[in-house]
Amino acid sequence: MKKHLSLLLALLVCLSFLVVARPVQAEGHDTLTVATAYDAITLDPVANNDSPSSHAMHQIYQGLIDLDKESNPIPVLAESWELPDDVTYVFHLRKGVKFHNGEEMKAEDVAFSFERARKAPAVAHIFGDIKEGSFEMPDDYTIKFQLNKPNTGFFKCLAHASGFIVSKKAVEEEGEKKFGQNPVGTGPFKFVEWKKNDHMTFERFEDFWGDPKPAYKTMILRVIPEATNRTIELESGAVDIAYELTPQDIERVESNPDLQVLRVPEYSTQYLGLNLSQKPLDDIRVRQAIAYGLDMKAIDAAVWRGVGKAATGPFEGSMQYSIANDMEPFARDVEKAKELLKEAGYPDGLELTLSTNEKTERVDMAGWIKNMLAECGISVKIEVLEWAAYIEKLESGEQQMFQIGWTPDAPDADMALWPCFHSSAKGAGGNYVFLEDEKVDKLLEDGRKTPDGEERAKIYKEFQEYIDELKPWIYEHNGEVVIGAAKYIQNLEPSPYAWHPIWKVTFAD
Amino acid sequence: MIKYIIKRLLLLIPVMLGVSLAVFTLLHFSNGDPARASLGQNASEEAVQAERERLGLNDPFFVQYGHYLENIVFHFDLGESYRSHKPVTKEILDAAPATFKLASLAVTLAVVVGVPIGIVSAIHQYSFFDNIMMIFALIGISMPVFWLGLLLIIFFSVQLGWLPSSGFTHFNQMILPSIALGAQSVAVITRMTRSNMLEVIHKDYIRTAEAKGQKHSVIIWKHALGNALIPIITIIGIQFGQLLGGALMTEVIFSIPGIGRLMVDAIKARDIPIVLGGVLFVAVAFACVNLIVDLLYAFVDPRIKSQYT
Amino acid sequence: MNSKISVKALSQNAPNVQPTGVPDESIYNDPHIYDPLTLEHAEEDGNDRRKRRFRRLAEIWRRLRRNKLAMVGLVILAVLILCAIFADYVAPYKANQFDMGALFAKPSRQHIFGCDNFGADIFSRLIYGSRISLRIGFICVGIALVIGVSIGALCGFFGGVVDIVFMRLIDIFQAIPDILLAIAIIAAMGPGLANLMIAVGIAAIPAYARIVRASVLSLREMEFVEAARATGSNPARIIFKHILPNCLAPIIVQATLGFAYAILNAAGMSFIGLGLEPPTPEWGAMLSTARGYIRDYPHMTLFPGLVIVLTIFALNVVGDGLRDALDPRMKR
Repeated sequence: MKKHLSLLLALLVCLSFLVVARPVQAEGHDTLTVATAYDAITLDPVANNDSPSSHAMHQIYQGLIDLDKESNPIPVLAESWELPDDVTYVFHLRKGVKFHNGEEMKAEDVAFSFERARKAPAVAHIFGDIKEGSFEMPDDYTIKFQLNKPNTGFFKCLAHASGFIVSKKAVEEEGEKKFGQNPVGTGPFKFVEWKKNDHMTFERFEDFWGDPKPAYKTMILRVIPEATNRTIELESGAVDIAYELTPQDIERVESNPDLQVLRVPEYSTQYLGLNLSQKPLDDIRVRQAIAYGLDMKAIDAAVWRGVGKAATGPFEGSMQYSIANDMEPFARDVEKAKELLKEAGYPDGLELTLSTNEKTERVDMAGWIKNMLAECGISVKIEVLEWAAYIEKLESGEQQMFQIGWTPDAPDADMALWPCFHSSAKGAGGNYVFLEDEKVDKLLEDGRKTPDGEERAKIYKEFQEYIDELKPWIYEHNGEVVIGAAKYIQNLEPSPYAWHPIWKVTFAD
Repeated sequence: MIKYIIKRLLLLIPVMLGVSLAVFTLLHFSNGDPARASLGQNASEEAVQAERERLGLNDPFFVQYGHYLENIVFHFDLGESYRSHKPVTKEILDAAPATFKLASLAVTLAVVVGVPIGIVSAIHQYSFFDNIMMIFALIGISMPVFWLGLLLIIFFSVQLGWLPSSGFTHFNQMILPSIALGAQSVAVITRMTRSNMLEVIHKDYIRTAEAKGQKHSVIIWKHALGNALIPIITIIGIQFGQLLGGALMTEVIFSIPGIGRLMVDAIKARDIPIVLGGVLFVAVAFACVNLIVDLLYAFVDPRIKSQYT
Repeated sequence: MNSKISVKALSQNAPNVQPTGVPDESIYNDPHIYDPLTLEHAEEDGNDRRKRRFRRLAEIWRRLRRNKLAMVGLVILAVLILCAIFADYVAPYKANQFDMGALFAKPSRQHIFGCDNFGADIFSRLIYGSRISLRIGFICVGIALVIGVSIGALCGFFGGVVDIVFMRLIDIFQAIPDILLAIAIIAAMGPGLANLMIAVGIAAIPAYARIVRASVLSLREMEFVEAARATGSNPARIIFKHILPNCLAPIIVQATLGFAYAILNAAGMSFIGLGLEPPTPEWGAMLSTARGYIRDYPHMTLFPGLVIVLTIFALNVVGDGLRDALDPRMKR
């Protein structure tokens, strides 16, 4: 008996360790499986404005227009458009476009979608400027509406996920609240299933109007928050595409003959904000001292290790009107920093609080900033808050130094700058440095209403140079989209907003 | 027996009322505006006010708590997530199976491995096997689940490439998390089994049986184990509760869509209804497990049965 | 002084109050099996008491010393405490001494445990981290001890409504697994070292309250306590002078194991991002950071984990050893 027992025991121990499993292979090429870092929050275009949700929605919805790689508008659900004056927009819709529920898309769906967006708090900064009750529908395929004020950047915002067209009938049947769980759009894929924090399944929409149609039948978006786990799954073949590779995984994936890495600069700008409504940061010499005290290029290299680049301006260099590519990162000069502090009346240094949210790279940045400023006599206390509490603090204006990033919702200078610097946007609007400067306001207002061209370029150039002197921001980092994919994946076009149109992906044999 | 179950379930009601009131109060007075959390940072002040009205946040505290209870009792409704705007009940019920599967697998592992090792160790007290196993058990007890999880990933997913490190759909995805979560329980149950067996083995009736010349194996299985089992069952019950807590870390490490991750995400996003609902749900589940354990007692030990009247 | 006889006398008068609870707690709740040396005598003077206490401690130490594992644990704890106190001298680098040239350095002669993502020396950070972990342990146990013992003593001593109200509260607390309770508290108060310690401490209260209550219940009616009551001592004095010293043993064991549990829970909370944030050199936070670099720089995961295991192991074996040393039944 004794012997039997020991034997049984040994067997059990062995069994529990030796269950060797084969990796799950991608099933034919009928299915595309993608490892994403974050789950979507909603599939209702106007319920929230976050990029994981937008990414998922880009596979199942469409807007009136889209933007090409150079940010020029291309027709999607609208075949053509006219702008009779600087506040009026007229769109002629494509005929015969079907929603996933079989209904045809008509002007009333567009009016309904925009009216929802106009009233939705999450996207009010984009669509809130549509004039109430201005929708006109001369026929089923024409829609006309007006804005309250001229806004050059608005047109490009129509490509943003919050401008996606939803089926009026579906929303009314499902109810406003439930629509986000059972979305109906006109996109190439239709919604099948969503297991929160695990995966989302979409299926090819056979009545999709566009050409070509998707090359595969099923799309699965898996949520794998751990970057290491995403790469492991990519290597084992369990997923075809993995988003947000870490710097240390890039080389590994590149050197794997079965895999490829795709990279494209992101439109985001991370910055160290200095709240001008708080002493002693209202003193420009203190802000300059901080700028001289930091070697952002070195910090960028240590934290991001080759992903993205050190930022040199308030918005990313490849965007229209940005002069960031002509600027150099600020050079560190500890002596100069100390001198400026002495001039400002802090010969013995000073103490500042640096607030940040818990995003790993931001916390790492904060560590370096504390370290470098300590050498200049500024002792920094780091305060890490979770996202909602952090935003609340930034809106209240109680912060001193803080770190955050801004990604414009459309590739337009106005979208990139107004919310961050205009005095009307102080606090909740996005101006977390509480900058209130007449010249800044004037330039932004001119830029918003001036049509694209030489004059607009001049305005924004002057603005950027002026902001660079004022130093409400110390520019930190421009992000980069880094995607790992199997070699057989083709036509994957990474988007600078991380809303990759993976429905266009095809498979090589 | 049924009377006893009903009595126990009735006794649960005041405790659960207390749990809900305690957690509701705690989260009610936490900083942060739920209305703004629900609407997002771009919402206007008027919209936030309207949302406060809709969520009933302007009502007095006890009115709010009353509504909350009323919705639970009459509609089985725990409110609505601020973030996804989905019903909390649905979110929790979607996440629950993964957590229970994980905890059950871990408990099973703990029993299947821990009890036999404990028995063998007790029979061969102070043998080489016993000493080695007891040291392993001590290390196992001291091993944080979050570190063991990482080590398992390093060895089995990264170095050997045998097992996947994320997900929870296929059986092979469940192996590493179950081992990580179950290891500590294996250690606890091994130690408990061993010490209980030792205590029983040295009791008079076992010696009597031995003296009467009964077969050793019969003594161990029939007499000793039966009596040693009772405290072991308690420990299994306690372990199950611990595992529900430990499952939280395991889920974070192995990207498992369970209650733990749901709650960690909710706390970071200040999604109070999910946190509240999650705590309540786990408390009820924990209570049910304890009830089942108590009933198992009666099954194993007939002396206790007489008390269930 | 012949204490054995007096115990026998006392035990005959002891009321049959068997507390309900987890079976393995019961050895503490039963005053009869406790070291006879602990029990107080109404008539002895201070000098006798001091001598008796000394003899008792010597006896416990003698028993503990025979337990090799417990001694190993004690040595580990001693080293750890010394490291924490003299961190400035022991650690070759400062905890937040970053070095751009040493990012992720593998273990070497300069950095025996290697460097982390800031190029900071992991060995030094672990040493400084021991300060945080030990402080967490002490304060969490302190909070749980003070509140738990007070509640337990009050409930046991006064009984009635006080008992019912507080024990129902404890029931409610125990209905939630403690890590979850700690998380709920953190959710309400926000992260941070102070809140973390409060949360983990509060979650540990019920264990102490139950132990003390059970002991008090069984001691309350004993002769020496009754005598003290009869002479008109006030309740606080009776509780502190006569009752608490007699349930010290189970409290000490629980505190040792609770210390381990507090460190583990706090590290776990930091690990899932609800406790301390990097670059704080807290062990759990260090592991949390390391998780992102697990494939390329496993030394970042290995060493902090080893230190946690070693600490918890030491506390566990010392706790076990104390349990045996304080329990005369376990005499071999």
